[in-house]
Amino acid sequence: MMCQQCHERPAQYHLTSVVEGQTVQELHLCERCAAEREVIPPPDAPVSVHGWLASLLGGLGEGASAVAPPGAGAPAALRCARCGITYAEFARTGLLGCPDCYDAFAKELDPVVRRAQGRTRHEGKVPSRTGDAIRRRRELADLRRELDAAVGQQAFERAAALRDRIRALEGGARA
Amino acid sequence: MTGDPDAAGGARPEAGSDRLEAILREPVGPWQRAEGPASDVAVSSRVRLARNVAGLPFPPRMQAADATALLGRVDEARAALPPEDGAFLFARLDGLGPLDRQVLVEKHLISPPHAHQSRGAVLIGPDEQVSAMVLEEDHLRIQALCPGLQLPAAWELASRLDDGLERTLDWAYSASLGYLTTCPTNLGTGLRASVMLHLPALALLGRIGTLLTELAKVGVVARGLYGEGTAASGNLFQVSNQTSLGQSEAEICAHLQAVAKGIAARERSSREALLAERRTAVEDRVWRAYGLLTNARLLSSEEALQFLSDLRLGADLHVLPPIGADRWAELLVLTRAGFLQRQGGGEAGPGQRDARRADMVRTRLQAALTPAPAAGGAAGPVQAR
Ligand SMILES: [Zn+2]
Ligand SMILES: [Zn+2]
Repeated sequence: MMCQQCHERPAQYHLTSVVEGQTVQELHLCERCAAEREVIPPPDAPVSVHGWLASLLGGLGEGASAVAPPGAGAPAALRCARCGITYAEFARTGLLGCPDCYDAFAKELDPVVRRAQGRTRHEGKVPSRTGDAIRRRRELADLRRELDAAVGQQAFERAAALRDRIRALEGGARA
Repeated sequence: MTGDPDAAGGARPEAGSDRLEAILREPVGPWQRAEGPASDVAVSSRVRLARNVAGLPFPPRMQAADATALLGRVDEARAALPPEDGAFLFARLDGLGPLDRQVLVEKHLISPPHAHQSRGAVLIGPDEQVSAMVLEEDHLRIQALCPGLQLPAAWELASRLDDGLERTLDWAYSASLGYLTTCPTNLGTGLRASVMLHLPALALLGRIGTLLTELAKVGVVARGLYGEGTAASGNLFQVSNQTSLGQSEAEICAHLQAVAKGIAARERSSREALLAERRTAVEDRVWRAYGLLTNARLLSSEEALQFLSDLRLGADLHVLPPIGADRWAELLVLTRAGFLQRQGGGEAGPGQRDARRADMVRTRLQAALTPAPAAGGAAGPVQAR
């Protein structure tokens, strides 16, 4: 099919709407005319990311109706009680319905997040209002991991020091 | 403004309407007037933070009533921002025409998908440096822009607006997963850092393909700003972090900053190589671009991008007289379709736009670029002043 604007080059972009605001049914443009109309999405346009994520999810199963990661055994009909979306809908669009979806689909999302992000634990900013408790919890979790490691290595002196710091932090939480 | 007679008829008196008009009229924001570090290669740095309000569905699942209520809450949060952060403008997209929205896209204040969101809104801070899209893919997408290569500074600015909004709004947040986002690819920090790079020499030497492959290996996504892959018009590329979870914001920004610095060094050595090995060819290319930009009567947007890239390369290589980074950035935006139409007094077809574009570039360049007269007093191609 040729570009409907210049009729010179093959159409590579097939649109149902354009940036100018009006909805135009089925517009077929070549790359140049598409660029002219600014319809080529910029680098962080969500569309491409979703495509990528959806392909990542789709690659794990057989199309939109059976996209559970192997082993997770996620029923496609699994549903978030808060917003009502099903896991199948998420797998199709790459978009979740509400913050609670992260709990509702926790088990299924874990391998997806791992694959997309490489990691599964937030290490960044903490909201300042709810932050103090979270920061303390995070520090405690780190210290407990260190303590386990120290015990495993039979580094008891270090373990004792860590235990003291954990007690102090826990005390601070209660105070 | 008390007793404003314009308040009649239910229309809210728009204290910010003059300011909005100024934003829509100016091709670049005041923040872009300053010269940033590494500006010979890095055009601008941007940090974007995805945030959602706790207890509400994400935008794709939001009912109209919830969406309207959220706009109200964001406007309240804006009013409660610390006064020292300056005045933020709140504009609903349903109050803006299609060309106005397109201009906001061309100024990178909103994204193309957001331009379609009639129920959305935009917050714009002093100097247009910090802004936020409301009801794009997430409830809020805060962004901060800095000239040149300075991601840590952009992060500080974005984080500051985040802090300010958080005085009023509770973010959806989990201790283990961080900021909860509509798409899990933004989970954690919700941060997307990006640097816009002008890479004409790497492109001329056919080194973009290799670069893109290498970047993918270090977790950096690179794409043409206009057009795709190695054939990006204007040789403008945007590099961004691929992942948002498991590293702090400062780490993500520092990593990308280091990568961008490395790319800039490569671009510079490619420029030197070009000049050393193909000086005449480069000079010819640059002067041809100059000739076309200052004489053509029709310019497509793709041609404008290409010739402006050549022009900038010529200025950076001292083949042409210097053109300010801000003037150049201005031309990049002024030649976009939406800007041309809005400036030119309304919608115009592609042919008409090409004529307007050529006129605009010619006028601007003749004012901006006046090469020193050649030795012996021979007249340059452009009259001085
Ligand atoms: Zn075409
Ligand atoms: Zn949900």
